[in-house]
Amino acid sequence: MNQASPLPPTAADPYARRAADCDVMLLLEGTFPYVSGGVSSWVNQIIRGFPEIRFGLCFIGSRPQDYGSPKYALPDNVVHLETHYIHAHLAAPKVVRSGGDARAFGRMHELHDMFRHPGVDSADQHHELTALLAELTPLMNDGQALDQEAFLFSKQAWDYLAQQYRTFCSDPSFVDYFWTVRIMHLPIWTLARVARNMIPAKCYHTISTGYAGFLGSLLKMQTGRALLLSEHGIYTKERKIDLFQSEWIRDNRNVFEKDASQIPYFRDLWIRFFEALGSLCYQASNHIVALYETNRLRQINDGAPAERTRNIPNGIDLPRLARLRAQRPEKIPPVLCLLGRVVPIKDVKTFIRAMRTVVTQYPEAEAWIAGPEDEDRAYAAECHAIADGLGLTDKVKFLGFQRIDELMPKIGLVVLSSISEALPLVLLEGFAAGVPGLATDVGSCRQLIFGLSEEDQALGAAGDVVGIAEPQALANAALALLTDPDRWHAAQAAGIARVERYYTQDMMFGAYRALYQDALGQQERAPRPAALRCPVKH
Amino acid sequence: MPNKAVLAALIGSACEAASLALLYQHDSSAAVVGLYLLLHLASSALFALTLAALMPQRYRHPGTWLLCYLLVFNFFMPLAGPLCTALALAVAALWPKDHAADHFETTDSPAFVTMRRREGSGFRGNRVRAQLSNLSTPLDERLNALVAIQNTPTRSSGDSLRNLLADPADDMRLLAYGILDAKEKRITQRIVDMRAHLLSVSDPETRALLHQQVAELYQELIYQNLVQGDLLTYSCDQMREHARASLAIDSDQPGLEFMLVRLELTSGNTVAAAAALQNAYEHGFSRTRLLPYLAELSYLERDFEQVRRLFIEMEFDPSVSSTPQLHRYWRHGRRNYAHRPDIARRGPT
Repeated sequence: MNQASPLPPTAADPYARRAADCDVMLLLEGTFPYVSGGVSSWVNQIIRGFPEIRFGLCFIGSRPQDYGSPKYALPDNVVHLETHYIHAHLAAPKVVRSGGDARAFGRMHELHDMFRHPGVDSADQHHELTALLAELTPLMNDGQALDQEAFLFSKQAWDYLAQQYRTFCSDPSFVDYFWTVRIMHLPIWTLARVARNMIPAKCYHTISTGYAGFLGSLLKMQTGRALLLSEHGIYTKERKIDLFQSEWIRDNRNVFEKDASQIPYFRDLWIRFFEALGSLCYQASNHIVALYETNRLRQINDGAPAERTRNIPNGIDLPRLARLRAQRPEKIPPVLCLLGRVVPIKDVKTFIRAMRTVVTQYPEAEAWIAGPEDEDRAYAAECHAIADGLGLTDKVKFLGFQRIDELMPKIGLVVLSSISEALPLVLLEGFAAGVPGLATDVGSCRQLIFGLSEEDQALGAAGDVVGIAEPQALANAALALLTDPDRWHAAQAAGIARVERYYTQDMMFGAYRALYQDALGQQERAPRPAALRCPVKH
Repeated sequence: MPNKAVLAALIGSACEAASLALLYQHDSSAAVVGLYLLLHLASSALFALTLAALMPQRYRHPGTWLLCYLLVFNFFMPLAGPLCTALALAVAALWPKDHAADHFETTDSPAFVTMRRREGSGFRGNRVRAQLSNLSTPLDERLNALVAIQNTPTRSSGDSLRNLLADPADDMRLLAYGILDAKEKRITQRIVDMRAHLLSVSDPETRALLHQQVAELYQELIYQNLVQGDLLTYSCDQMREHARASLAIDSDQPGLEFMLVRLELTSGNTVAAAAALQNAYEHGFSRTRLLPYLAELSYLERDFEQVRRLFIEMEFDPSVSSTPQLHRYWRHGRRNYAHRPDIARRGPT
């Protein structure tokens, strides 16, 4: 697969990698290599797992100042890295007067109608929608009928916006509507530009829907190359939760206009925007991968064609972690360890609160929190304050980032108090190293602890599961496991058996190898489609 | 059994008659007195047996103590003892004990609630609450309902939000948690900032102000039901600590003393609450506004007569939905109190 030699990274900047083409272009929104976390670790694992594939990375972020220096060293088989920020250039551009192309805007209106009124047969509808998008996308090039300037400054755009406002908007503020629509749609032109200028790749692999997924669907449309989608969480769902809680979205309705059961118009508009991006990506993807069954069903519910979906669970490097079992002491270490970033989604506060009860009943017990604290310093400070306030300064230890190889033999229980998880690697790593797990009932944690199929369940419970934000239940479950050696050893055995049978890295690589072969094979089989031409005369 | 009782009564009567006969012999020798006491003891014992046998079933236990009591009673009250016992038995038979009171069960003491209606039960609220709790409602509608209550004070919506943390739908759990967390974070962030500011300030006036503000923020966390369990205890301690630190610098803060009153009453510390009430009053806090808290303190101290007196003194406020019933209960529970002009006042005067 090595065709063109990449430009070698300079000693001064090992991240300056440019190539003329690549095998797989990874589309990464807000993750590897600039953000640490589970998804980034997985991307790193995949790239290193396929040294024969030449990867390109396209990182999409919000603004440069939101990210620090890269958190991961780039593997040697990353031949290309480009970064794009969709909210980087929000300074007012020069206003260019124009009337606008009525026919092009008419076609755009048809596109919006399709999004607004999805047909009964989603496959047929997507066909039409894709055809229309394919027709309109070239018009977004600079100097064309639907370029960024036409969207921002043309008379047609103004008229269209005013008409849409009068027809659909239930919020009384036109000013807010005007700016919401502009700010919402601008990234589409940025992404269209990114797609136009991207180096050739044999296939594209997006790690989420959203902006990265939309870029993937544009690339698929533009090149005809295969698109893979691997979703760890469900992007649209997470965006939706963020949008529901956001305070920057205005609701200008007065007390008589407000209906408690109807969400504000602008919030709804944003949600529908991301749903549309997600739906486009699902329809464009050749293979749609979820980590576990619940998420796969959710994808189908959100518009993914069922026949293209599949589950590929995370896998871990079993031989490396299995070696750690020999280093474990005979006695169960009275140490509960939360491995993860100190951020609200991990609900570290609940873990600390639970420790108050654990320590009262089992004074030798200790809590270790092993993860970086720099992502949300205010939250980390709160966690320290709570530990101090509960008199747990000596019992709750904030260790910062730790190597799991050194940590695992010293701990008695891997604890996850998270509010949301997908398929947490730390639980699997704990199982492989001989440490049972205690997790909240989120994501696939129940499946990992108790098993999915009948055969899997027969292996036994590899720990316990409790409800979220329930410190007392967490404490009781931890005490039950740590103070009952028979139960603990049974959980350890079940964890080892489960991870060895279902969650190895080899299984995961095997599944992805098949997907990559299929995607790369499609490129060889299918002729490249003719370049998109602009169908509108102007 | 009745035959034996009659026999015992007859023998007892004979013994008692014989002992009385000895008394009329005017012989005070030790032998005669000793014989008299022996016969009287025998008759008392036999009367005790007779009376115990005639006792209604419910008075027969404990049997030994009953016999001892009757023996002593008969022995030290010759003749009158058995007669009084027989009279008491007749009263017990004619006016039996009222057992209705035995059926009462103990309950938890009532808690005062200012708001009887659950959140969302007002304008369109029932629909929202129904959507939230009904798992068969489409997820989007339930999410919309949750968004609708996200701006209501957590003091009233907190319970619903906490229940939703165990909802089967991931989205509902995440959103409920996010709402609770955002509200808590908004206050705790200000606490962290204020405390950091405190470290860099030496001017006593500013320090007093900052301590007061930190105490107020902790009070807000407690009032909004955003902290529970150990964290609630921690927040109470912090609030108390900062309020006292502020008062140590500037004692003339009746508002802060009043805040301490509420805290100590919530924590059940009656002694500290009484002291804070006294301080608040001495520093000029209106007695009228303290009355409900004085009543609460008296209630915690189980001084219900005092609660009644304070309620009589209190102005009736029809704007608080629960007060009509409370006033009716406490003011008219014993009518004669309401018309007594000489009611003693307690607390700060």
